[in-house]
Amino acid sequence: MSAANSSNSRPMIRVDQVWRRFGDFAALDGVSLDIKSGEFFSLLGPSGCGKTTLLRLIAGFDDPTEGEIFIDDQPMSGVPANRRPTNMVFQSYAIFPHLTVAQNVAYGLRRQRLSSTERDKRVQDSLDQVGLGHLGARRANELSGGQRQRVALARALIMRPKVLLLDEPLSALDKKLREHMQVELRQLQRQVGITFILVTHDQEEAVTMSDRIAVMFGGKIAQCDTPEQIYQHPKTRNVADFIGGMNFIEANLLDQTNGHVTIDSSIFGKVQINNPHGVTFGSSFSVGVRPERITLMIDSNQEAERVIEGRIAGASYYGDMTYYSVAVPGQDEPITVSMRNTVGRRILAENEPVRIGWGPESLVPLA
Amino acid sequence: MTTTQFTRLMRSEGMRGFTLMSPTLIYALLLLAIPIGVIITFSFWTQHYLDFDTTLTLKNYAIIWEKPIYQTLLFRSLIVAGTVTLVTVVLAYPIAYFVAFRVQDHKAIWIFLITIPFWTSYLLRIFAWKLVLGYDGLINSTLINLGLIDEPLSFILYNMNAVIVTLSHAWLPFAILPIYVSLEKIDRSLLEAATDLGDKPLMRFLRVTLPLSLPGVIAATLVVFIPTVGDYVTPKLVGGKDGVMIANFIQIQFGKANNWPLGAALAITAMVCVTAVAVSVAGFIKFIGSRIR
Repeated sequence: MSAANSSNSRPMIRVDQVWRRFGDFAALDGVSLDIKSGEFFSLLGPSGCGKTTLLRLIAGFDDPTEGEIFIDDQPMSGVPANRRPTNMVFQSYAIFPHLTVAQNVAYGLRRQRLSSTERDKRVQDSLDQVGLGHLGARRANELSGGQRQRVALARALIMRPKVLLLDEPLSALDKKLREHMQVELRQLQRQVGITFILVTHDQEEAVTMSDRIAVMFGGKIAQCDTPEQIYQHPKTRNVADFIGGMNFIEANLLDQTNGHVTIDSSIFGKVQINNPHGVTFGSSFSVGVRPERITLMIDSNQEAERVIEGRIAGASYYGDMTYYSVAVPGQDEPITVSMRNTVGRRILAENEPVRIGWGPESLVPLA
Repeated sequence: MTTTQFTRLMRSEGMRGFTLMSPTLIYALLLLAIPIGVIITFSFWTQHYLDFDTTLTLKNYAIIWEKPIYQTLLFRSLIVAGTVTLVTVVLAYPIAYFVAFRVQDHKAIWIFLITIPFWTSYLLRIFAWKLVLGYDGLINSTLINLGLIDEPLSFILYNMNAVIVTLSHAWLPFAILPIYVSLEKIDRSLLEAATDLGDKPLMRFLRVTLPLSLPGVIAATLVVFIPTVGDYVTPKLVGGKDGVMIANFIQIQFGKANNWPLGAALAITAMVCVTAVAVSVAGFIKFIGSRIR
């Protein structure tokens, strides 16, 4: 977050009421968005939500049906992709197979008419930056997945774009390498200080890397906020379900006043909870609670202000954590509770009676 | 060999491969390797009226080397085939490009349409060309009726031009298909990447599309060039006396002239020349491709 706050916060990209229709289908449904200069911004959503369409509109590979996109205050309609101050890292990396690594990285420099020494130096610097300084002479088809990804990065960054667009750049890598690259990409972004826009369907990736995230469903932005806000205070059931685990509790909405709602639920009873976004809820209302925001009270002498009685219906062991589903009377779906596997803590058996401790601050009202 | 050894051998990976290939392998051996062996052997013999003198000699090759007629014919055949190849590939590329990149739906129908000329026998197509190019043919009668010319053009039939036109038409589909396949295989994101990195469409074509489609161009070149050098039906029917090619002469040696060994030596010489030219052209195209940055 520091990178975004330290630079001035004028928008580098403004998406203004953009529609993209394919026949009757609206891939983008009136999207508006400001992305700040120097920000690491993610477009997150399931496949078909319009995130890639939006990225391609910014890159110039496709044109909006309606609306305008501004990059650095310049309207982009009519500006072809080859003249936009953006560069893209493609999902497939799109490394030119007939060229070497160095030729791939130098590809976009042709128009700048540099001397060959200057060009070679910039290519070498760029390769060094992504840790491939020794591989310049390799053919593209002799590279591993991770190396191809770095070549794609170097090839885009050498252009010194105002905005770097990344289309699911990590989805083809294995888990270990992906986690490593998440950290590295984040560091690289801080180092070069340019705006990064990442498209991903992986919520963990978006949460760990981004300054801000726009969560998209059905061509619309459901919520645009910091990862922390989106995780702690999701606006809608869709967002809450997409990011992290969430229990949905059936509840009736009794009253909504400024900043608070009062609910009645068979397991929580009548309780007032915070409504941080000041949303006015309609008929589709539910209450969510994160598995780690409620506690399993396994010692009989443990006390909590508010307690639900239930029975263990199942357990999934994840090494550091165990996720228990707890059957609770008055609730159809069992409630999932996570518990850290600290020293000496045993795994609870199925059908064992347990108590769940909770507080109103753990409950999130969802539209 | 015991029975178990035999079964083990038959089950081994290599043996299974050979079994799978064997029909084709036997076919190729019988109809390609053996005939070529026979032709090579013949080329070192001498015709002695109705018999062969089977003493091995290089005399036939010496004749080919010494008499200018053979070299002229061979050279002319290579020039005709080269021109046909150039015309075909240059015409085929835009068609293949169009189908691969511009046609969105029903590509199969386009491919199907391209192969329609194959539905008619090649001989009939040559005769059709005679009707088009002939003295009283379609072109001449049209031009005369339009008053553009007073008497029929003679340079369009019974010469090299007619051979080139007819052969190019006949071989066009064979050139379109390999080029189409190589263009179709190009990952579209590579083209977007080139645009993203600043290339205008023409530059992108020269730097990405063309080099990546060169394998198809090389395949098309070989597929058209090699058979057309040895074509003898087309020059015989539309070539007239100026359009005679090496294959016509080879045919004569095996027929009227009754000199099989000389015919065999001519065939071998032509084969060696074709191979040499084909390999160098393919190599040259590849080299040009590797120079593109």
